[in-house]
Amino acid sequence: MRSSILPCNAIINDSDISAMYSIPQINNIHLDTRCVDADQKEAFLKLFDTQGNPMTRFPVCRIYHQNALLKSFSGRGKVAEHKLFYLHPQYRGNGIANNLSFNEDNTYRRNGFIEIQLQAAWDGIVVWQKKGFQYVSPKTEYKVITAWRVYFTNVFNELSLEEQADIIRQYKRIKDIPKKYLLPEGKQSFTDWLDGKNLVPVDDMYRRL
Amino acid sequence: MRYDFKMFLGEGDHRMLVFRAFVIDSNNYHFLDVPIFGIDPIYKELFLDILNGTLEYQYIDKQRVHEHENVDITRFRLEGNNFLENIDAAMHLDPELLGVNIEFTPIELNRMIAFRYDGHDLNLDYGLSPQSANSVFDVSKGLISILCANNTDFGKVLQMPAEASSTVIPFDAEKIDLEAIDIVIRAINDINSNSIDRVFANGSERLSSLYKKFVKQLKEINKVPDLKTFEIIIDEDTRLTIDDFNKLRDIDEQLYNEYVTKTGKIHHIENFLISKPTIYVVVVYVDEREIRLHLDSRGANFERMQRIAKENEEKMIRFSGYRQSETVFLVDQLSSIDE
Repeated sequence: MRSSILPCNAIINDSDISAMYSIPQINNIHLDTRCVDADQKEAFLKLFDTQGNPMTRFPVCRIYHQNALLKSFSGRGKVAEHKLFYLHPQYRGNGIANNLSFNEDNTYRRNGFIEIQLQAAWDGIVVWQKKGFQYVSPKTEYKVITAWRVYFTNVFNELSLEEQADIIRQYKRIKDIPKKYLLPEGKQSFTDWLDGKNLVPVDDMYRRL
Repeated sequence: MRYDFKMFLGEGDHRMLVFRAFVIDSNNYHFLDVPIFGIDPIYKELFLDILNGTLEYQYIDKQRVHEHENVDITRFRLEGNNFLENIDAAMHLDPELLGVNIEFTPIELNRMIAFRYDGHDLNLDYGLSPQSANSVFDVSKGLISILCANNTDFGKVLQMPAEASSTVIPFDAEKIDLEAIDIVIRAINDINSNSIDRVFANGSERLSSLYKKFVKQLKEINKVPDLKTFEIIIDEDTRLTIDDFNKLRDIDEQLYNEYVTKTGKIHHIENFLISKPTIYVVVVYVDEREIRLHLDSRGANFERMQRIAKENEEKMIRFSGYRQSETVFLVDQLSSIDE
């Protein structure tokens, strides 16, 4: 059965989903969708570069809800749920996230979505915050700070323990940490350091459209 | 049983203590300052989540997930039946997630001392007024901080939850400093018998300063509103009571009221005392310490002082008088050093 005649297509149709990923940096898209029920549609996307290499570690998974619980305020509404988007490091920093975010915002608004709910790896939390996403749990903040403190003591190991302690104790919020301590010149960045770990912690975020 | 809970960042020679608490159970715990971090709010939150079993993580184990397959998120939550199981589970959690290493050891704490405040407005069962609560805790904190100064070999002294039936502020310690307790007993007995040991208090013996500071600090209990009885509880058999608070009013006189003769250099003449407008204050350096001389402006001493300050280049004086506090002397005789 073609998905276009399924009832969940009223939430968002496949061509709109594909169109969001049609950006210059992505050469080819393989989209697979399925209706869970009339109120929920799942989309799995594989993104390929010009050489035919997959650009994400796992397929991109999006779940579209007609009537889900909202995080930004009480009540229910139309929600786009973004599962973990894990772009391989070589594709990062060339505007893919910005282009996708721009397309998603436009497409979702046009289709009547009111909120994006996001599963963010800790290495992406700094970026998602800048794009207006907020944590679902306020505890995410202290956990990421805890990880950053480990990063800082590992990467800035030329400093004495007292110097390290004196710097890290000052920062209680991720947005207050200066860039020089997240993306230091000539040193591994916080994002790359997190990416090098076997365990990738993730937390939930949301943004009202 | 009580426990010492520590969190460290890093390992081996590079580990630093970032958080410490004494834990009795999930409702009774005491945060301790650690160097540089103090009581860090980030690790405090982590500690509370561990203690209450509310710590949770969602993560992907990259080693278990095959590329290009749909990803499963592992959800972890401490699910102990009590705080001990929660802490044990956190200690076995991958340090990559937790970000710290935990040390958790049983310790023995003993009741060192307790201060009991008894009065109409001082029954904890009925709640204390903010003013009473503040003064009770300030006075207790002042007294215990003096006792703790002698306590370096005895570990931390902890304030425990206040107890009702009047208001009792107990303090527990890892090990009881019996020397300090002996000084407390001696100080209270001396105050009650109006025989503060001035020679010992102002002497250079190791415990002199503790005695003097503790006696002086006891004056502060007069600030607790509506206090009828103040009691120091060492143990069930040793309870020291002060209920005649007039005895606290002349502590300074008992401690300091000795006649002394000293030499020093005039620094400057200050203003008169607001409380006693006939008394002028002159700041003098004696053995490089700043002291304040009180002189009656109507007497000859004040005129002599002005003359010396104006005419004598060295501005050196010899003075005799009664010591009123650590740095204040009421001048009886005064002369230039060359007179």
